[in-house]
Amino acid sequence: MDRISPFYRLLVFIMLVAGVLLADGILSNLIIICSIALLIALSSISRKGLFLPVYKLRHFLLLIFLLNALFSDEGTLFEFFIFRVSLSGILRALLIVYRMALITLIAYLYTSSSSINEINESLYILLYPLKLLFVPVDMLSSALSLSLRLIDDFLLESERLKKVRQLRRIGKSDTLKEKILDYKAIVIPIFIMAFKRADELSLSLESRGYSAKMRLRRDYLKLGIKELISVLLAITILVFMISGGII
Amino acid sequence: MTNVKKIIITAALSALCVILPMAFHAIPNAGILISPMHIPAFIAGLTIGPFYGLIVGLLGPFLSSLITGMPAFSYMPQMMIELASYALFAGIFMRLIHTYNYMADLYLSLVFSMIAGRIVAGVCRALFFASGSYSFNAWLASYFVSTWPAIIIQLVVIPAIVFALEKANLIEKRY
Repeated sequence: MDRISPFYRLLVFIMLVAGVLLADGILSNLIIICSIALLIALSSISRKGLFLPVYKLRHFLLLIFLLNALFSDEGTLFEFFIFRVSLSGILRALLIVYRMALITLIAYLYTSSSSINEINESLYILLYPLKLLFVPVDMLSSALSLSLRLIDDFLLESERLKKVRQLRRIGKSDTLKEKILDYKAIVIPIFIMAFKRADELSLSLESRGYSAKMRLRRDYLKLGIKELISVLLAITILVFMISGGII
Repeated sequence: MTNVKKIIITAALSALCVILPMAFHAIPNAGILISPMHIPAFIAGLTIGPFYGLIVGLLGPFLSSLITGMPAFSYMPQMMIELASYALFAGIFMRLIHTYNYMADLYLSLVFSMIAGRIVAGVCRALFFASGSYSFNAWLASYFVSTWPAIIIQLVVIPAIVFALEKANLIEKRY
């Protein structure tokens, strides 16, 4: 997978994410899982630590599951305290967590098989038609690719934030005034950290002569046999999902 | 501030639109009580201007919906319009208002952008997203009554963040 042109790689991954969101039913989901397994098998990405990003999100995924499973109004099976458990709620929660885990895995596969420049230039090609509408595509693709990278860094900071929150007993404070003060004490350092990172990054990029102006990499558009097979396979899967698995 | 720095701040604030809701959704009713995704959008408008703020407002909900599933895909366009309007108006008002008192500028821009953004979001909902089934009372209830804790938190927290950023020399001094 990492041997095909970065632009077509991006297209394949986008279609796969759309496929995950559209998959409805056992057969569709089996096809999606097989496609991801095929991508992993065909890529030279290390298998070790492949599921680490999903594992890192385990607490968050558990929380999302509980929020969806325990507060459902449709066909309640049983109630206790403020919780209402229903079969449809549990199934919906499982589906959301399953989709989030798959999308995290796909995003990890894409970011590990592509450099930041490749992501940036591929996004630029993808958004290039918007130039006709006077959209600043250079800036948009740079911001998009950089924010995808920064999310990983900031996630680690948010873990620290979680610990600070526990220490400061946020969520347990009683009055709105206490809640505001708690929140202020946590959020301000996060923004200072983000702006400091941006400051350092812009200094190092500018000193290396980086400018937001980009040129269209026509070599990324060259359609070889590997690219053609990958894109056709991805389109077939997507059409299958859109048709609701009827084909 | 150079364009490169503005682009990187745009990226950082868009990333925070994904991270902050993830961190605060563990608190019961945090979505309504804090509206964490709104804060980076307002900060963007107030610090890097209307244009880059608009980009943060559009990118933030898009990325968050794609990565974490929050907001739900069907609710994402409304959220994009709402956040983009907040950031755009915050940037515009920050450029228009000059009282020679930094805090006054911040508060006035914030309050006006909150009102203008809510009007734009309400009009869009009435015209496109809930055409025919949306009323003035529903707008008042969803944008003012149920979200009053978030409004107060934002009015306290956002000027404090911008002021702290200015003190730390991370954004340009206004006066």
